[in-house]
Amino acid sequence: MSKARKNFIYSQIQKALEKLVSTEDIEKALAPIFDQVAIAIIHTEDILAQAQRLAMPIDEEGILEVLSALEENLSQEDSLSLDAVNNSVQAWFDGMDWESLSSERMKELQSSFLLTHFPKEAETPAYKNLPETNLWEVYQEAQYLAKESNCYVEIFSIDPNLDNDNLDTKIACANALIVVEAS
Amino acid sequence: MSTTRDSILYRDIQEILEKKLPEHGYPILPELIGGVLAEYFDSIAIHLWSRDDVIHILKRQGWPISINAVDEILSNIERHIDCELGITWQTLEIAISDFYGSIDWWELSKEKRAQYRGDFILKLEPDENLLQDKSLAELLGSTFILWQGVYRPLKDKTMQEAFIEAERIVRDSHIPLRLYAIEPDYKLKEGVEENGKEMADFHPDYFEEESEDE
Repeated sequence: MSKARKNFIYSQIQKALEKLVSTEDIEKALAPIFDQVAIAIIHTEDILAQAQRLAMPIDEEGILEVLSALEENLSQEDSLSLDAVNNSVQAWFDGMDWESLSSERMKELQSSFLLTHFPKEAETPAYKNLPETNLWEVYQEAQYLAKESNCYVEIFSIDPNLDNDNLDTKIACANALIVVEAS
Repeated sequence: MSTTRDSILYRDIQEILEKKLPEHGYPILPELIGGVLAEYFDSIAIHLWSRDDVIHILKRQGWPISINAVDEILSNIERHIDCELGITWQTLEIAISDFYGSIDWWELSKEKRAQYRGDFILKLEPDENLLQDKSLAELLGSTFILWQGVYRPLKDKTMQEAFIEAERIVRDSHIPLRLYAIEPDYKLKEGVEENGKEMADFHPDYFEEESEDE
C-alpha cells in the first residue's frame, strides 16, 4: 500500500532510480517491501528546524550524527517523535566539546549568535548580535573584542526567530558555547 | 546514516532491486544501486513497522487475522501519521481498533470472511424456559460437542467457517448464539464476554425469516 499512498521514501527511490529503469519496473520490484510496512521518517530538515528552535548551531556532520543516534536508540517503546528529535539534538549539543573545535568545523556550524563583552570602562556588559553566520566568524569577532577590551568574551548561540528587541528573552533562551579569554 | 548504520529497509530495497531488475532486463551493478540510494538513505532516520508488529497485537487482542487487513492497517497508520508523535504501539492499537470496529461481519462477503483466520468461541444462549422443559443435551442433540457448558471453541478457523458452523447450530437447535473471536490458546477461566471480541449474533428468527422469504 505504501506505493499506492505515495510513500515519501518510495517516491524518492523512484526519483533516484528513474534514470536507470522504468517506473513500472521499480514499482514491481519494490511493491513487496512497501506494501507490508508503515514508515515514520525524520529528515535532515526536521533536525535543522529543531536545532534552530533550541538555539543550537548545527552542521551537516551534526545532523547526520543526530539522525544516526535517533535510529540507533529506537526501541520497541520509542517512536520517531519530535520529543525524540528534541532529546537527540540536546544530547548531541551536550556531547560536543565546543571549546576544542577546529576552525574548519567552526566554519560549518551555522546559527545566530550573541556575544557578551565588556568594553573598557563600561559598567555593564554589552551585547552584540551576529545573525545567521558561522561560528568561525563569530569566534574571530570575539577574539577581536577580547583583545580590544582586555576582558573575556562569551559566545552564545540564539534562536534566530526570536524578536530582536527582546534581549532578555534572547539571553534566557541562549546556549553558552565558548569563552574567549583576553590574550 | 541509514546506509552506514545498515538500515534494514535500505538493505531490503538494495537486495530486491539487485534481484528483480535484472529479471526485467536491466543489467544493473549492485554498486550503482547502492550509490544511487545511499545519498537519500544517509539523510533520514527511519522507524519501520511491519506486518509482524500488527499481527502481534491482533493475536494478543484476539482478533481474527487477514493479511490484507494487516496491510490495510499499516497503510492507515502511515496515511494518518502524526509527525509530532511518530508511530508507537499505541498508534498501532488505535489503528487496529478503528479498523476492526468499523467492520460489519454480516455485511462482509463470504470471500472476505474467508480471509480472516483465528480462534473463535460460540456461546449458545438458550432460553431459560426452554431449559426447564428439556435438558441442554436433549435440545442440542448428540451431533454437538459442548465444552464447559454452553460454550464451544473453534480453533484455527476462518471467519466464514465460524459463520457456517454458527448458522448450522442455530438452524438445528433454534437456540440463539453469539460468535466471539478469542486470543489463541485462550482458556475459559473467565467469561468470553470480557475477554473475547463479539463478532456477530445469530438468532433462529433470522433463518426462519430467510426460509419464509424463499
